[in-house]
Amino acid sequence: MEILETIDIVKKFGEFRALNGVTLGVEKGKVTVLIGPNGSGKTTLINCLTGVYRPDEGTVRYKGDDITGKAPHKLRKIGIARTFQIPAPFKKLTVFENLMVSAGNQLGEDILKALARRIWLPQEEELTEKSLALLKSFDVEGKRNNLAYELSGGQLKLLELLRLLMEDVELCVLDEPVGSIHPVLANKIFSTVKAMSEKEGITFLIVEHRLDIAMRYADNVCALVEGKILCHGSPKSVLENEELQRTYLSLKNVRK
Amino acid sequence: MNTNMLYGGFLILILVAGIGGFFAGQYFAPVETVPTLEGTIPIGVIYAEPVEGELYAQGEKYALDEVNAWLEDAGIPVQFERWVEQAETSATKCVERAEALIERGVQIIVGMEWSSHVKATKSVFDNQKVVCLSSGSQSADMAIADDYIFRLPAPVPLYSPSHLAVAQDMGIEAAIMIYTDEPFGASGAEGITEAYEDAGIVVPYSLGVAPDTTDFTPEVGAIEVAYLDAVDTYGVGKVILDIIAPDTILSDMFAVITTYPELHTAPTFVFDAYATALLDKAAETAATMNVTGFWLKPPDDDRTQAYYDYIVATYGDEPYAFSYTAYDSIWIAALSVLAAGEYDGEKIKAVLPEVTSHYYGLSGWTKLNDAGDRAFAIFGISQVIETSPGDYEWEDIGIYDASTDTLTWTPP
Amino acid sequence: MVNIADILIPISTFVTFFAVYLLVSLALNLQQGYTGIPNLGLFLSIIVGAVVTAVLPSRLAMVIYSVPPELNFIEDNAQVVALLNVHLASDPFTSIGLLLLTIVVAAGAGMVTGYLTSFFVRRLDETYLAVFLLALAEAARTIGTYYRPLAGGNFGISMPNFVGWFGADYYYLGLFILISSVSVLIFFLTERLCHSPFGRLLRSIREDELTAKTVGKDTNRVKMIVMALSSGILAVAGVLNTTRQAAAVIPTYDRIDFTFWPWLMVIVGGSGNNLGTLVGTISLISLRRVLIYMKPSLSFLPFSPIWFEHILLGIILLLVMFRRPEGLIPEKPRKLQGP
Ligand SMILES: Nc1ncnc2c1ncn2[C@@H]1O[C@H](COP(=O)(O)OP(=O)(O)O)[C@@H](O)[C@H]1O
Ligand SMILES: [Mg+2]
Repeated sequence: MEILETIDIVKKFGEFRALNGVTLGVEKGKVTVLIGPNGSGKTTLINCLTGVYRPDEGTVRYKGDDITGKAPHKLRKIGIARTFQIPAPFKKLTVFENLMVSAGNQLGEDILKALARRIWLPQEEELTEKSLALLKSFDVEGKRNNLAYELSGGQLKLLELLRLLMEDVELCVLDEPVGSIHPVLANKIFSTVKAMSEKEGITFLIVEHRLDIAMRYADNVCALVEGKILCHGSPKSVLENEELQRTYLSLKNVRK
Repeated sequence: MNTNMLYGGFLILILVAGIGGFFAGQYFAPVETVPTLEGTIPIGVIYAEPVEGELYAQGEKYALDEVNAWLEDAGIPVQFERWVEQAETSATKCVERAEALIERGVQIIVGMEWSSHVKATKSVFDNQKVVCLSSGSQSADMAIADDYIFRLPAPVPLYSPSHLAVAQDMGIEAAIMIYTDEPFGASGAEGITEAYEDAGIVVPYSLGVAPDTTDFTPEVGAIEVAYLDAVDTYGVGKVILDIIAPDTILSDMFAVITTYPELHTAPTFVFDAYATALLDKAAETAATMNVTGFWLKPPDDDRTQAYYDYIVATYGDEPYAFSYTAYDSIWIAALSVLAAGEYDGEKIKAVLPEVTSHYYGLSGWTKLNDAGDRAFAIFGISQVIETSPGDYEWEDIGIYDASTDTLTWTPP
Repeated sequence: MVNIADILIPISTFVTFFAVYLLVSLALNLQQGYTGIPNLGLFLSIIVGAVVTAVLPSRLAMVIYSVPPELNFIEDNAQVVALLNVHLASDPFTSIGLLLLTIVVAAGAGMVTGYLTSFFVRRLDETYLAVFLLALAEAARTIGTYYRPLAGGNFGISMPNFVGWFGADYYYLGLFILISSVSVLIFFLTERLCHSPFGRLLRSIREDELTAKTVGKDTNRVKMIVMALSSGILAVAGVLNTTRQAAAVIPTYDRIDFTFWPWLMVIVGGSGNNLGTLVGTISLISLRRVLIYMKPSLSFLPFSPIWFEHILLGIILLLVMFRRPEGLIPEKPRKLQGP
């Protein structure tokens, strides 16, 4: 079953069509990896899916409902969360606060209830435990009192991911979550992703450059080239696509 | 060294300086209420606006030198000193500065030129029993009896009889009133209209203009229609324009009037004589229309002349029109303190009206009315005149004495 | 003999002045320091508060004490004020009631103003927004200055004395109690708010609004709440300042005294924390006052001591900007204690 569908998405920047009719289905509970050369429109597509951009044409459906152009915070409330390719943490908040603020439905965020500590304190304690446990499971609880801007690039990527887990989520959209991360940590992140999709049925749509890692964990792969879906299917079938090999994989090889 | 400690120290220094200095000021304030007067006594001065403040200061410094020289000659062990503050056009700062001066022991404050500043600070003066002697505020609605506010300039209502006297002398039958639509202009126009109508001069048309207008084309158009209408009834030379507006507005308006030749037959009264922007922008038109202005005139005597010469020699310019009341404010403050026998606002307030009613200064007789504002005025009447071809200046053409209601034309 | 009331006067004038400014800089800190909304038009809502004070309580008092209807509060200002003062001086309940009502109504009006301006806060970029809010405030000031029925136009109007029932000797005690208690109350409420998850939410929006959106925060709504709340506080500052001066003079609420100065206070003190704001406010106000004290003994300076204050403030600002851009008390990371 497809949890997210896009139908003929077009996104223009001036005259330039960054997305030129993208039709894509994301299977529920699976890990779908989106590949494609630089500038092919992957980030733009994610931005259209998560409400950061409103597509110029086309429809986005989530569980059958039309969510085209809905604001990001509304999408988060119905279970769609995302990370950024360039990590965008709350720089002058601590790592711990970065996690805390990312939890949803906080009583203490209501201006009136915020004044009465006893209303929000129990929930705050619960969330504190939850975020400490998260930090611990990735062996970074020592960093909890660091300001986010003091973190390394890899740690920021991790923070982006952990932030999503503070609130119930059904669809995680990750933009290059392990780019420039040490391979050991990258593998750990991907195995967590895999475990979550298997155990909790969370759906992942992941943009990833590093095919070696991505392919190992992907259920489905989708290739985007010049704003269009080139092919879509099992990792194996996509890797065998000749056209893709010409445009993308060869490029990859040349780079290496 | 730990920079945090350094900054912590800096912070503590500021706090200690602030709070400590504040309380220390209470104790080291050089002036305590002393039963007998001696030593140096401060007269607080707050200026509303920097540039104008300097012009008031010319008169004050001159007066202060006179006062101190006299005290020394007379062997009185007292000298006066000005403690000057700037409100920088802000009424809030004016209040803050008045409060701080009073905390330092000041019991009388002069300057206070703007009515809005007087109004905002009034409660400070009244509640702390400190005298305010304004040398610039004229607004009619600050005329309040038995408060600590005294004002030396001619209040707006005092001007009405002068306009009426000149209009009657010229045989005027109708007047078109034009004024800036704010308290100053509106109350001035209202007073003059009342005086005209009581004396049988018709006011067929009044026009209030927004004070921030810069292009007066529509207004002048309307004025022309009204003027020509009135001329049809009363004849040329029988209808005047009477404009109650500050210099800047006046000059902008005249810049437009220049292009309406039909209006040039109208004799015109303006509120302030010696409006310089008018000469800059529309001198020729102003001269054609015999623009006539009124001002609080200093007496024609040696003392005035000496002051005039001194200011011209020292600053290179004629004395500012309000520097005459500024001069008087220092003398009246000093004399009132001496008369009170004690540097105490309440006592100064009690004697000040008597002092002013016996003081004849550079602004003339300073007798005050019940509200503590100037009661009588001698107005100089001036006209824009072409002194030599292409050269226009304000020339004195007469005097109106409000205390005796007499109009005297100066022989040319 | 030292009269207790005489000692109170300087303390009261100082503290009440500080209390009014504390509210203004608190509001700015909520907007700019916490949420990252650059507002150069703080005086808009202050004017709203001042206008409510000019319009509401005296008109009500005129009805309550049946002042003859032919008397107009603006046109016959001095007369009406004198009449009302006689009544109010012997009627503490009405005085307090009117004052509280004014504070509540002004806060409400300020909140509505903030709510309305928040629509622009959502739509405009930082620089545009700052300038736009400044323009809006200037427009309000221009209207207040020239439209007489509001608050007497450019000369302002005198206000009746709502703390007259303390007696003439204790007028300043009354002002002190009234103004400082309102200000202290608001300070603590704000402080409490800022130390709750709500405060954390504000700081997250300041740091990265898009990220805040993607973690599910309705940032537009939050900004609206912040604008409404802080504008309400600003309006209360307007009420208190008007009460303090016993006069509503709209042109006095200008961009220098009621935007530039509070910005300076917040920057010098340290933005993003209310304690820094408090320290910045008290430092600058004390410094100004000390300078006024010192001026008569500064005549040796090669320039007029009148301008010394500006020079010194300029130097302080430069020092702070270069050596301590975070302010005297920088925003501290909220560390989680424990293992
Ligand atoms: N905000 C924008 N304005 C203009 N062009 C953009 C913008 N964002 C992306 N693009 C262009 O759209 C194309 C796709 O970009 P992007 O989606 O970031 O690619 P990818 O993530 O696949 O590397 C690129 O050519 C990029 O230059
Ligand atoms: Mg990208």
